[in-house]
Amino acid sequence: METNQDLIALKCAFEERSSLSGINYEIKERSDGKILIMYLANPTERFYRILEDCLKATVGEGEVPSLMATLKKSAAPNLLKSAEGRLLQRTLVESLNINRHSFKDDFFARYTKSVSGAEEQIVARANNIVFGRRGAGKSSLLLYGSHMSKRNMQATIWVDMQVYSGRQDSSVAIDLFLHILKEVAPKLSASAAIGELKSTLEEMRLVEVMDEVKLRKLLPRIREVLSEFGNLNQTLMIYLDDYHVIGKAIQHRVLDFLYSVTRGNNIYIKISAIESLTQTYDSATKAGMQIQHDITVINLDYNLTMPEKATEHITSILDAHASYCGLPAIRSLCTSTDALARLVWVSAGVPRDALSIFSQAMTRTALSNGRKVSVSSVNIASSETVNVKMKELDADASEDAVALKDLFQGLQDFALKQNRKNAFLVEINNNDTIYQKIIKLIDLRLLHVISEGTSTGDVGKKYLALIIDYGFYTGIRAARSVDLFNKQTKKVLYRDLRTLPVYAK
Amino acid sequence: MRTPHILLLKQNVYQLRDQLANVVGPTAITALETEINTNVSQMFALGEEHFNFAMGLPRAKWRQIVSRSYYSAYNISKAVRFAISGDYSTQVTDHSKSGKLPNGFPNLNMYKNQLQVLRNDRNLCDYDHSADETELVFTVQEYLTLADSFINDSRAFLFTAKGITV
Repeated sequence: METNQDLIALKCAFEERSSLSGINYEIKERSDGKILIMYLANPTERFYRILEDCLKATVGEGEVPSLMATLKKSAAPNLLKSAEGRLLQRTLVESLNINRHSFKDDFFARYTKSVSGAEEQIVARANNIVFGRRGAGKSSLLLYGSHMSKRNMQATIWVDMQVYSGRQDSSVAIDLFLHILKEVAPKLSASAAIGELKSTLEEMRLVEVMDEVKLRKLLPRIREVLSEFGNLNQTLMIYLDDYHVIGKAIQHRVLDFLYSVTRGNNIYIKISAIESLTQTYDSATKAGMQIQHDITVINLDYNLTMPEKATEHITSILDAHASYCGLPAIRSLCTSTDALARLVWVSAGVPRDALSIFSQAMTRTALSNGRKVSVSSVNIASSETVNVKMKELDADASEDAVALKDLFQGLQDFALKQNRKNAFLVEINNNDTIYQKIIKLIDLRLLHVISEGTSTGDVGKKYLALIIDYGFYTGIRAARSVDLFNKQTKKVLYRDLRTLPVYAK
Repeated sequence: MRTPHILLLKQNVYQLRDQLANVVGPTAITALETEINTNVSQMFALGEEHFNFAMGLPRAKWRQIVSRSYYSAYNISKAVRFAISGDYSTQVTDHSKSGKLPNGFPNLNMYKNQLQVLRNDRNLCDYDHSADETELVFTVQEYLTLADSFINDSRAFLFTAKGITV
């Protein structure tokens, strides 16, 4: 006969496996025995599977569990403070920094497909480069490709380029080859040749200035070893995450080395990078991988020019996380849909920023005994992300961080102080160095595009409409005198864009 | 069940079909498959009949609603399991298999758990004269919703997995 202790032990096992702690439960006593009932706001199949596993663990192989337990749908009065709400906060924080180990077996349950169908492209047997701002979901998309590759029995290599951050020497290529050879060695038969190549590369690595000619002479041998993939009709996928962090001057050269051994060998390169910080090809030397010819771009940016798409994407990501944590739709955690609309606007459509801000807004709301996330809590949370963005500027654009900071300060003075507006126009001129820096500030999410091409009446001139990141003047940095553009976060109107001040250096 | 009936052979119908493939022609095999599908449809229809009966009962008849909801789900489960595995049983032990649905069935673990709870509550309703409604694990309405969604998911699954329209 089951005892209360048995059922409580079962509850503890369920809590441990589901990562929900302190769930509401009751033990119902009836004439036919006791049953454990655990209450969740949204008990999905995932939780029933966990419960089934816990029940099986109470008996031996092939035996039928005698304990009775089930899950019932019932929401705690304050979802933010419930076991499910606390798990959501933890989950959101965990999802901010995706790496190849993230989510593991739960990956597909947690992953939200892009609105643009980028997933079909990333699994294709082709070279791809995924462009998007920091937090746009580049690494997630690459990880999706990697998981799908494994599911399809393809060999995969994941390289976190952060290890080579700031490197200006093209011997990064040697390190990459060593990494690749180490990973493929167990899969290939030419172990002696691989061993020799590794020794040679290790020796070359010790030399201060890389001997490019020597490396070029090695390429046919590396290519030959890797040709086994093609000969056996197998596929190797190489994922290079955050490629932009290595020096821009060497990026195309490193790719040139890599591509010369992968091309035509059933080996495909998948890269994630920030576009304005990346150079895959040098037309003068014809070195590297040429966009559209050698490598196809997948763009992952949902900026504020398409607020509906950005809202749809961010809401579905938050919904997927909420469902994973046993919660209903994310809307149920907000005071109104305005909170989600504001979230999309302050995060400028960048998913990771949205998750981070929402998580912080949840924490603030719970601490003040609030029950639902409101517009003001989103505003305050967004202002707390400013420091992180400034640090990322140093990390991603170390070469010209000072110049970018100066320009950004100048833009803030122009818009917020001189014109009392958070939005402005800048003439589109790809040859202008200031304009090029502004594009970098957009990639670094300090500025956000609200219209990609508008005019003010000047013939032949096109302008980019931008807003300064909300975090710099809302919430704890509230600047009441600033006239917020599109405060109601509706579709941007052309006539409103024309009234914005034009920034000129 | 009146004889002659394919299910009275007490044989897995798909194994029977496969073993007869060399003895009878394709027309007979098709006729056998049609007969199998007809039985699936009839079992499914019986499940729906129990459900419709439960839905029409006054709310005060909570014991009967739970009981009919269970028999609805049991017959639907029987139809699904028979359609996929070819096994059919009239043994009382078959009731313990109502949640043993085929792989790929939607929300498999949820149904496995809840159909078992429904079965226990059905026993309470049918046999325990001292029980009252508050002892039920799920409410009467929740059981009706469970049976309804199980019917719908089973219908979709039978069509997808076996091309059977019920």
